[in-house]
Amino acid sequence: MKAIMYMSQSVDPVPKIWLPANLENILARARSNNRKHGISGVLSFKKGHYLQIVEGPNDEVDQLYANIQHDPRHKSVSVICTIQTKQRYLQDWDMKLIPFCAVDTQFVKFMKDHVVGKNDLSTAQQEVFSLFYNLQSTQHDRPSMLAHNEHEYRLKCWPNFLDIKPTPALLGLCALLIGGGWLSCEQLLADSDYGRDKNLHRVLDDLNAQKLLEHRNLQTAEATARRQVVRHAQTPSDSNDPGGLSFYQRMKQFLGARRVS
Amino acid sequence: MSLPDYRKLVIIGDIGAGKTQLIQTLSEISPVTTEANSSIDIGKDLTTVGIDYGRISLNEETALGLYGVPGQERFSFLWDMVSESVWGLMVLVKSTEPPRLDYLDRLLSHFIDAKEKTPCMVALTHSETVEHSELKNLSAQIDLVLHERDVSAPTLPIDCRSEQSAMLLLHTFNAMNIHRTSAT
Ligand SMILES: Cc1cc2nc3c(=O)[nH]c(=O)nc-3n(C[C@H](O)[C@H](O)[C@H](O)COP(=O)(O)O)c2cc1C
Ligand SMILES: Nc1nc2c(ncn2[C@@H]2O[C@H](COP(=O)(O)OP(=O)(O)O)[C@@H](O)[C@H]2O)c(=O)[nH]1
Ligand SMILES: [Mg+2]
Repeated sequence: MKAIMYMSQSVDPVPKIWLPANLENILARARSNNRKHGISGVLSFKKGHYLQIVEGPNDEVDQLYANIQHDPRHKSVSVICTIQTKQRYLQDWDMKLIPFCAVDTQFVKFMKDHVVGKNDLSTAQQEVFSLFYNLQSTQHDRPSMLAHNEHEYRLKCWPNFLDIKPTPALLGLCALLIGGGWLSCEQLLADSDYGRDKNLHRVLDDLNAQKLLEHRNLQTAEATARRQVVRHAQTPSDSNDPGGLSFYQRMKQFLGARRVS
Repeated sequence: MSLPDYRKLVIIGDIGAGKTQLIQTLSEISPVTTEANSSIDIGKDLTTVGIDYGRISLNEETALGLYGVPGQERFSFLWDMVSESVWGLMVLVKSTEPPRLDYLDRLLSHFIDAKEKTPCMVALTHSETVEHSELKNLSAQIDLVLHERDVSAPTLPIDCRSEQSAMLLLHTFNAMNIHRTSAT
C-alpha cells in the first residue's frame, strides 16, 4: 500500500465565487470511484488551492494519481510526499472533505509521521501549505493537560455536532469561547450553564482532546478588562432605564422559563 | 410603529427547507401569541411579497421578529428588506438535497457583516431521513464555505417541528450575542 499527498491550484472559470464551481462533482465522483478501487483519502480546499491525500493499493493509487495530474479542473499539481505504508491512515472514508486540517485527528497523525520535521518542501510549497496547516505549531503533539485555574481559553472552531450531541449547555459554552478573546474558568462559570467546576472542566478536557481548544496562562489584568466589556453587553442599551434588563437578559429569562439552559 | 428594543432573526433557506415550519414552532412558544401583522415591524405587508413572519414578544417593549426569507438569489431584493439590525442569521439547508454551495456563499456575503460579527448558524433540516455519512459529507462542504468566508458558525442537525430544536437555536444565538457590545 502507498499514500500520496499533493497540492494543486483550482482552475475556476467563475469569478468572485470563492469555491471551485465543480467541487461537488469532484467529490461525488471521487467517493463512488474510490470505494470501487479500495482508495481512501482526504481533500481540503483553501483560497483557490487543493490539498489531497490518497491511499490504497500501489497500482490503484498510481493510476488515480495519473488521472488526477491530467485533470483540467486544476493545475500546478505538486507532490508533497509519497510513502509506503502497511496501515491505512484514513480508514473510513472513500474521500473525506476536511474544512479545517488542524483539527482533523487522522490528518494530523499523517502530518506527524510523514511531513513535520522532514523539511522536504520548497519555499513556494511551504507558502501554499501554510494555508492548510502550520508546520511549526505544536499541533501534532499530544494535547497537554489543562491546569484549569491557571489557564484561559478560546476555541479554534466549532465542534462537529454530528459527532457530539448539540446540547444547550455545550452550544452556549462554545459561543462564549469562540466569539471574543480569551476566557478563564471563572468567567465561563459565570456566563455558561455549567454550574459546577467539575462539569465545566470535563467539557474543556473533551474539547482539548479534540484539538479544538487553545489555552494560555491566565492574564489577570486583561481578563478583568474583558469582563467589563461583557458586563456592558449584558446591560440595557437604553440608558433611560438603568434598572431594566437587556435584551440578552430578557431572552435568557424567557428561555429559562421554558427550561432551556 | 416600532418597539424600543426590537431585533430580527432572519431565517433563510430554499423552498421546503422548513422556514414556515420553524417560524410556526417558534411563534407557538411565544408568551404573546402573534396575530402576525408584519406591517407593524417593517411598514409593508410582508406576506404578500413572500416573507414569512412571526414574533416572540419578551415584554411590551422587547421583541424578536422572525423573518422567513427564500434563499434563491432571485429573491435577494427581499434580503435587503430584512438585513438591518440582524440579531441572528439562521440558514436552513435541506439535507435530502445536494448542497448549493454557491447560494450559501452569496447569502453569507450579503448578510454577514464581518466587523459586526453577525451571529450565524447553519441548520440541517429533514436530517432524520439521511444517512449519517451523507450528513457528514454535507456538513463538511458547508463548513468549508464558512471557513472560506471567515464566518464562525456551527452546523447542526435540527427538526423544525421540534420545540426543543427551536429553543436550542434561540439559546445559542443569545449566547453568541453576548460578545456584540453594539448589538442592535
Ligand atoms: C482536486 C481533485 C481531486 C480528485 N480526487 C479524485 C479521487 O479521489 N478519486 C477519483 O476517482 N477522482 C478524483 N478526481 C478526478 C480525477 O481527476 C478523474 O477525473 C477521475 O478519476 C476520472 O474518473 P472517471 O473515469 O470515473 O470519470 C479528482 C480531481 C481533482 C481536480
Ligand atoms: N421531517 C422533517 N420535516 C420538516 C422539517 N422541517 C420542515 N418539515 C416539513 O417539510 C415541509 C416543508 O416545510 P416548510 O416549512 O413549508 O418549508 P419552507 O418552504 O422553507 O417554508 C412541511 O411539511 C414541514 O412540516 C424537518 O426538520 N424534518
Ligand atoms: Mg414557506
